[in-house]
Amino acid sequence: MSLGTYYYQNQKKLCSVSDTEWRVAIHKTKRHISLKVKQKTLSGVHAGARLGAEALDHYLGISYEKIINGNWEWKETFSLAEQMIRIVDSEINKEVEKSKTVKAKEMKLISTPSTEDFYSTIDAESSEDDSNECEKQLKIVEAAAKEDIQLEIMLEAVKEGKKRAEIADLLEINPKQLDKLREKLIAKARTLQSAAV
Amino acid sequence: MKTANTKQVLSNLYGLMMEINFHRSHDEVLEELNNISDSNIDAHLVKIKRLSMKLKAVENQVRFKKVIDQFALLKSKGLDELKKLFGPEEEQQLVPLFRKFEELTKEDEQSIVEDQELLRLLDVLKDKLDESN
Repeated sequence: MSLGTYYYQNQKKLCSVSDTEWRVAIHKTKRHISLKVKQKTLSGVHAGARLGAEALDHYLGISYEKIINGNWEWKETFSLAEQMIRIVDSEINKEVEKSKTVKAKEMKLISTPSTEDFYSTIDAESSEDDSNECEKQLKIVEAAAKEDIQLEIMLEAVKEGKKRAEIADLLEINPKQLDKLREKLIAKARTLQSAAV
Repeated sequence: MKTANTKQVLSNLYGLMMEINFHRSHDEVLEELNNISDSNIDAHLVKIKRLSMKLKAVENQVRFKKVIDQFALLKSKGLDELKKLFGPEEEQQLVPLFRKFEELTKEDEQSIVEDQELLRLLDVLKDKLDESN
């Protein structure tokens, strides 16, 4: 075990991180990993790699280990959760690139990604083995949004590829209020999914 | 809807959810955390503490080795040689520490890293030596 290049620099920030801040960062990063892996699996590029609980623990572990051991610089402008999420994105992208058998030197390493990187274009030639499952998932989401004007607008905007700020603008709400809509959509989708099982 | 389109919509939806999650404030996440129980978070918190402690031990080893190496280097120069780096007034101020430095043996290594005054002298000596080179 050795101290990374940014160990002492990161320690200056880490020494003031409380358990509560760690909990918040872990919780936020876990949700991000779960969504990112699901998204990458849609392209068929993350299938066969780490999935489920294993993926969560694997990427989550890397995200805080690299900050604590100083192998990754905790940038001044980022919160702990933001920095962990950026490390996760870089690690998942590396894994995806590996599965695409791209030469190691061409691996995409994200040092300063933006939220644009959360959006991914699906390769039309990706595996269609799970097409029925995807259709089913989307039908559940569409049913969950039905008869709720805000959710319907949100889903239509998503279909058009609009992002958080644009969707909030369209709905004439604060971007933060979108989280409540997200919660509502997920809760309704979960209810419909349980009813269908 | 074609599969690629279906997947693209789901991908967009995941992207939006990631963006929303990314912008959630500390208080919003904390409020959610207070309403759920997740033993996995506690397990990771334990791992974080263990890793931090292990690295702290490595940090101490590195610090110890650095001081000892520095001490050995200065000792090898000889005290009379080191005293030449200071003016008479400066030397007068540092006399008690010089004496301490002179009396230190290899067995005192542990006490060196715990003696703040001596560590300061080692730093000053090292700086002066670097300046003179």
